[in-house]
Amino acid sequence: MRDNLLQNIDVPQDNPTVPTVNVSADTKNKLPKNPKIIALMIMILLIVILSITALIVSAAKTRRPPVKTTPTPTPVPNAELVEAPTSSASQIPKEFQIQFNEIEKELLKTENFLPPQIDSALLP
Amino acid sequence: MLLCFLIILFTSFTRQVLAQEATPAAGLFETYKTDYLFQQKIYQEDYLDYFRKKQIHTQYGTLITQKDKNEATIKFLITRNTMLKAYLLALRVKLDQYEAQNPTDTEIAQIGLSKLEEWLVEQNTILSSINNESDTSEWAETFKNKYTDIQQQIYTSLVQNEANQKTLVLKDIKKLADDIKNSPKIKPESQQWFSSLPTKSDLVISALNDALKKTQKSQYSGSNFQDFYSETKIDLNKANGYLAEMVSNLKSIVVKFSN
Repeated sequence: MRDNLLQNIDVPQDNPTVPTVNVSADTKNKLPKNPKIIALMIMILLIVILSITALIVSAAKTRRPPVKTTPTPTPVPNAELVEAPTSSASQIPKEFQIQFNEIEKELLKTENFLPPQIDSALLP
Repeated sequence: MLLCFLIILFTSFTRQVLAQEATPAAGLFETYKTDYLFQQKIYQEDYLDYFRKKQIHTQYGTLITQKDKNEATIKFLITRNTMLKAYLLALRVKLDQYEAQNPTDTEIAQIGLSKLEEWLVEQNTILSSINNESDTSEWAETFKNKYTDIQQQIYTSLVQNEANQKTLVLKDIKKLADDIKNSPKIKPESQQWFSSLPTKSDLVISALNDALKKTQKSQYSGSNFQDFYSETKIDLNKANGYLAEMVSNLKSIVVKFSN
């Protein structure tokens, strides 16, 4: 008899004397189930994602490299060098400019034609 | 319309590229270099095929897989020789570019390269007739020993070419210095500043000789190639530094003493 008195104590919603109210899970702004609209939404979402990605990539590419803070070597004074204010190409007389350019071009040339790397120790 | 535009654009670029190849030796070198790069691609493909067939034979160990592996080995060894020959030929042609600076030593290097090219062609004939694994292994051992000579000849030729190129630059600098000295546009007070040039010139020649001496290092102390190229590079860079200083000095003289 005691058990019967406490049978619904933890479950007040099961009280048979109180009328139950059916709460519907449906919302007023229900998503449309039309497949065309769903496809359109996926497309729009894709475009947005791609646009954001493109923006990030372009921003990363245009970003300037960090300025190096390595100390510059202190120039060693060379007694043999003639002290001239500057020696830019414009200050060199035209008759010598071509010769200077050719020599500098040849000086910068790197003659690297290295052989292929093969493993001669390889035994079949 | 667009097609016409593209054709015009392409031909204009082609002309620019051809204009860079001023000397015939440089043009010929580019042709042989292209051939070498093509042979290198074939070699890489054949090497991968050999490697794959070797793995299959290790896994299954049948007579068929062994035959496949042997065939792939011979094929890859032949293409390796062909690729090396193409490289040696391109290098030999490259030496023509600055040959005039040291004709005797350059010709010796070219003869050495030519002999090795012939050896590689000969080896391909031998390889074509090999049909068993033991002979292939024996040949691979012969090649391993010969490859030390090949490497020595290659790096000696590379150093010779670089030394020739720097000798040409030195000659050009000396000529320019003479032109500046004798120019009426340069003040006579400038004469004393040319005194450092012969010293620098001697330093360049000395550095180049040091580099060339290192190529004579004996390669028979061990089975592996004693790489002297990195050591010679130090001397060659030193020579380049002196040449750059000479140019810089001449520029300063011209700027300071020009009328």
